[in-house]
Amino acid sequence: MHTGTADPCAAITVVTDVSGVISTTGFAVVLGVRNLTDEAVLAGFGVGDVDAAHELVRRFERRVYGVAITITRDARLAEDVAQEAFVRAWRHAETFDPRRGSVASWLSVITRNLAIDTMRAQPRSELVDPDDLDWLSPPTQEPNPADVVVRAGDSEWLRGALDDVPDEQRRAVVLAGVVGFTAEEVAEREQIPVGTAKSRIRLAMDKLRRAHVAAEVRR
Amino acid sequence: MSDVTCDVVRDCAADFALGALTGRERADLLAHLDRCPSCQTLVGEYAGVADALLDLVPEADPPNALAPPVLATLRPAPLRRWRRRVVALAAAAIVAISTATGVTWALVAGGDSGSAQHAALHSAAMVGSGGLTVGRVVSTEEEHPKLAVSVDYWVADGSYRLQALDGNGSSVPVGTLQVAGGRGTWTGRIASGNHPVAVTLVDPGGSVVCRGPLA
Repeated sequence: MHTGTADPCAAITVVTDVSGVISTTGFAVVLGVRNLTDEAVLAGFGVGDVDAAHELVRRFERRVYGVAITITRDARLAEDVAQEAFVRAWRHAETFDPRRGSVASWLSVITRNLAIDTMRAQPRSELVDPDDLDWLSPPTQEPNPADVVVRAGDSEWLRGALDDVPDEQRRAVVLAGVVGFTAEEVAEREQIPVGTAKSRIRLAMDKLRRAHVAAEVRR
Repeated sequence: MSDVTCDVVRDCAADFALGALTGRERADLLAHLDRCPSCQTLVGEYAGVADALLDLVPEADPPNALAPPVLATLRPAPLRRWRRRVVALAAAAIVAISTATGVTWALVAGGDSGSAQHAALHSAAMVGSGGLTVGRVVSTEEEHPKLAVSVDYWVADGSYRLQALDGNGSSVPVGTLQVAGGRGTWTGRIASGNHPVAVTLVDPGGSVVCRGPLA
């Protein structure tokens, strides 16, 4: 005798027999891979399921490539980084913990780290130009509704908080946090003392942390 | 920074979250975090900010589809397609259920015909000090079970003994897990014929760093 229960978080059906053992019988029949959650697709990807791999790449290739191209500023390098990010995600899929964040954030961190490692091997002249970071600036006009949908995620609080951070601190914290600049590299780019660069990064991080905590409390 | 205090952590938590500390500084800070829940919370808040910053990066279309080269690299095991699907969905069940329970049992199709032979998978979080999830352990339910242990959070770089605990409280050395860059994995078979009730990572000083319950 089997009893079926639907897990709304996973959007899959779990079938349990009398011994309490979970069987996956009928999963593929019940729902296609496009109906699975990001976490379930990642789990399938991790064990080499071709359909899950296609689906994971389809869902996240724009995001992964976006992080890669933002940091590398080179289409060929970014493509290599993005491919390697997915391969690394496959190798380490079992380490993903949904309690620590989304699949999207996890993939972004993997991509950032790979891109930074890649850029460390490049001539310094190839490092990103902070003037290219236009997306950091607060919106100057009403946002496109499509953009609002894309941005209305868990980090909505961050965009609001960044608006309250002085420009020089915002640039410093994003150069450090996204592009992977050291304080020394931030100082060189911004033509400021290293101590000032460190101070700007820490001040911004502290403001954002407080905003993060406040956002968590409001949830 | 060998004697890290809470004041020191407060001073460098942002740098830690941004990956700006040296390996030695990072290891010292992690050692403090292992015994200080309040500092774990603080550093976790900064880490949340660092991760969220990436959410602001605009998406972009890659010039070429990424799926073909990624799939070519995966070189899937020579399983029949439907069997891979079942295995994948079993893993999906693990993720779904482990989120709620921490420990899961799932049935995975096995054998050439797929009609009668089954092997159960056990999966659980590797939990460190303060209940912090630092990784995951997966094992098979069979004689000389296969074991896959991975850590990717809070565990300082270094060499750790991996031990399997049986139901009598005895521990059996399984192997050595190396953590580098904050990450490490170990896969292999357990020599003992019995399925362990838990696995632990033990540092060179003999302290248990994290534990994964399997029963």
